[in-house]
Amino acid sequence: MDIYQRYGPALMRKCIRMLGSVQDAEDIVQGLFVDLLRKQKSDVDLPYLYRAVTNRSLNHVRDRHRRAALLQRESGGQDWISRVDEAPVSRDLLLKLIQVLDGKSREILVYRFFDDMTQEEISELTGYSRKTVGKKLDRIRSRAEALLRDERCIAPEGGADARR
Amino acid sequence: MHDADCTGAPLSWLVLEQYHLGELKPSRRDQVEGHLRDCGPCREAIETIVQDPMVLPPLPSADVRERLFDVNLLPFRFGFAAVMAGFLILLAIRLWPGSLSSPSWPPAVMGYKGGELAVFLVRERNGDIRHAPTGYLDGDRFRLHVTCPPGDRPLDVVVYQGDGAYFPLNVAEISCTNRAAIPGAFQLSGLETVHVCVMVDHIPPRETVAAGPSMLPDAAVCASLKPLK
Repeated sequence: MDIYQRYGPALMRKCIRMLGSVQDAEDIVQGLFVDLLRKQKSDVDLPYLYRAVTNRSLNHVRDRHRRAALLQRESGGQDWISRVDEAPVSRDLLLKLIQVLDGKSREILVYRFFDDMTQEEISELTGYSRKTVGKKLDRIRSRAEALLRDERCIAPEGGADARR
Repeated sequence: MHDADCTGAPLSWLVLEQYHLGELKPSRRDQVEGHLRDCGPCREAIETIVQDPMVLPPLPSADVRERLFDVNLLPFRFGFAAVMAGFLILLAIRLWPGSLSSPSWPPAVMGYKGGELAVFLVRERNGDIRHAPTGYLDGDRFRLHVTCPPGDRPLDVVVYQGDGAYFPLNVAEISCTNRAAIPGAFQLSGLETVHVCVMVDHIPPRETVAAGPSMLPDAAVCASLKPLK
């Protein structure tokens, strides 16, 4: 399947960025192209495929059993960093955010923080208005800051919590 | 991810991929090239795409998967199962220790430490990618994937050809998983069957392994390639 050879590597790189696992990326990308093959659908372009693997990856992340394994895998290190208003954010935190956000916000989070898209690009790709994208990103930032605050509030064992 | 110190808004990964594929409209392509001239982080990002040795696994055939579970093919399923059973029996006889034609080369797949140790070859010839090749022509490039129990493990690769042996890759360690790609590629040429062997965990000195396959450690798997001309 020519479109598999042509677009497969780009989609693999995208899934690996998000999931941190070559095997998971292979499962998702192959699953997508098998479905396209079954439907005999070949008139697709890269933006369409980008959106398709984003949704499949999000479903994959939301699977409870896989999520536990993902978080366990990621909790050891921060070999990949994105930025939320200059605050470094690990893949672990972004995956936690995915669990608490609504469907549109999850998708926008992926395009902004895993794919480095601008709001205009996200709007063009998804069909959401620029205003919606902006509002959702503000919400994502608020949730990220809240999660970061929660993590910093965990006092070490035996130590006093200064906030009490 | 590559917006640190970027000149203006960073180019998204989608745009970089489309640029790499030559799918941008001329005006957009010119904008991207102008940005890349001025932006180091984005240049590094496009380089990671250009240099990425991504090798795709073969696409499973949806048609074959569906047919195997088609109830109407019940008689054929039993026939297929009988043929597979016969094949497995022949394979067991072939590999049984002390059998008439027992191989002196480690297999490509074996059980190891509660998991699987396996080597997969990928051949590239003039842009055409072939998984699990059985032969080679002069100049063919090969990459290796290995399946091994999860964890960081020492690893080395040795190629036996004729009476000689050489080490085509400089890899000291790999993060094991299912079909982990071993960094680097190598070319083959010649008129003799080649045995590409991957050693995991216990790695003897290269001088020892170069003496022959009998010096390979237990945790070694090999794939063979015949010359095609």
